[in-house]
Amino acid sequence: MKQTFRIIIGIIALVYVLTTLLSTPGMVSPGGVSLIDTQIQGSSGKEIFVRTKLDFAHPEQMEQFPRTIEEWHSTSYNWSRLKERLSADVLLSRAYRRHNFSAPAFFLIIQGTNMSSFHPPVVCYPALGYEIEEEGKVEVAIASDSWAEGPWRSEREGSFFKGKMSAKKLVVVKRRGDGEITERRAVLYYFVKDERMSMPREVTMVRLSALAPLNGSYQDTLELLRKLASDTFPAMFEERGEERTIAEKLVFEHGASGCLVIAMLVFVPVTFILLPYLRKKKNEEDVSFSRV
Amino acid sequence: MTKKEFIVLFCSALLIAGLYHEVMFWLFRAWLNNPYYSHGLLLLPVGGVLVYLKRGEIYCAESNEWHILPLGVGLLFYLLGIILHQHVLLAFSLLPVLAGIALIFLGKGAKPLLFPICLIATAIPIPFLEWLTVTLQNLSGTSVSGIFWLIGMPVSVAGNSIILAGNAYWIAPACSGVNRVMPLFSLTAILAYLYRGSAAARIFLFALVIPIALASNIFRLFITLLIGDWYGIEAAVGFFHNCSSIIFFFFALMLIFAFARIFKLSMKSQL
Repeated sequence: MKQTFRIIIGIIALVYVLTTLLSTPGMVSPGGVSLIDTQIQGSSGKEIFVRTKLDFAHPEQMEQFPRTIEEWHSTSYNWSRLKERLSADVLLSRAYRRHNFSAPAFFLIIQGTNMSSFHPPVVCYPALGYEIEEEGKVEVAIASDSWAEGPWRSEREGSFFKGKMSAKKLVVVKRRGDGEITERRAVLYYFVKDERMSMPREVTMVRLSALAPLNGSYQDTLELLRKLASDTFPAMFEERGEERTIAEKLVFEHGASGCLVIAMLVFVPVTFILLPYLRKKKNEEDVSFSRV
Repeated sequence: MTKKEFIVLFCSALLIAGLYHEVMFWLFRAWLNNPYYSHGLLLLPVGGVLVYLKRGEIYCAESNEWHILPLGVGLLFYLLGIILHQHVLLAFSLLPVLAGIALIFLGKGAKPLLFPICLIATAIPIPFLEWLTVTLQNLSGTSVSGIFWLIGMPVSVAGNSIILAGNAYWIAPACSGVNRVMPLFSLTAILAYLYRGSAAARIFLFALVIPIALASNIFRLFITLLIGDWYGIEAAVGFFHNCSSIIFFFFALMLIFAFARIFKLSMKSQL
């Protein structure tokens, strides 16, 4: 076989082996993996792996999302204009109120398959005429952790939920022509990404927003949103812990035999690529030996 | 091509299809559903036509060792994309892989295939394109109001809205022109490829895509607002608004042809 062709087949086979070894079982499984992250593209390094309790693709099931959670009770609000602007499927839109707090917090879940037309709030708000006053990340402590004590989470699995998730924070203002602020909003949002082989299938954004005082501190509003994010999380997700790659599983769970399997898997395509070179070298050595 | 070469090519194609099937699903989903990249489907037959036009220049030549490099680089990017969860890197890695396969099997004779392969890059959904939205939206709004001010028609601008003769026109994110940037990139790349002239002039023409897109969008908005002023807001935001892409591309093509003349590019004896 022509050496170049041998290299092509060998390299592609090696990439297959490495891709499999560097993937997690969830990545290669037909269902893929769901993870929560603060950024829509790539990985923030602070993502958490979850199992979704709700089927986000079914509006009927999303309608079953609790209208009363802890001390919150909700009403639906109209989202048709927003749906049009975001080029996405709005799955859930509720205004949650606490019994002792009259200001509503708007809770929105939207889903899209096209990340380019799916504008994150940091793009969407300025496009709607808002000005970004502040941008950052906040940690949200997940208050109700009864679900995190299930039998699927054991010390042996090494997937202890830390009780916190990261969310993006945004404070936006809208000004009148003379520069006076007419509206100020605090926004928290995070993305739920369904991936298979690192390719996104669907992206769901969970966005919480509330009106903040026009001047001064917005901390109370932010705390309100954090509380809502914390209370709604267990109704949607179960934390599943980061999966190990297949190579890590082989090494940590099977020890020396796992290492041997990895070495064999890599050795076969590498040998297939290098065999003619090795043969050539051996022949040259044989020729020089016979000359001597 | 010998029978053995054909079998190796077939096996390589099958293996690469297996590696990239998720990428291909993602691309086709974007081309079918994403208005920014719907031109992707059109690029496949266009690529075929470009190959057909240059069919006389495709031949089977001996490949050298360097021709395997694009394949290696592409597959390295593929692995990085998998590890870093960067789907765009995964999608872009397909281009050097395809170019590498073409170069390995056809050697220098694969040259006419390289441009159609690279053209796919203009249909890969890239991140951060949405970040252009706000900039283009603001620039379009300010420029259109500037034009109206120059021709003596008073307008006032409030955020992303333009108020002309009592009617308020909101420049939506979709009206920023950002959804037409990528198709315009494809169109300009094809024209730059077909033009005869210096390579620098053709690259410069391609580099002018964003200013051309902005100018065309300003022209489109200007016409839309004029229609609104003359025939009423319903006429402007109804049928005319829906088919105003034609105005955008017509104006963009005029600009491209004008710049091609300035850069002394011609399409003589190309086809």
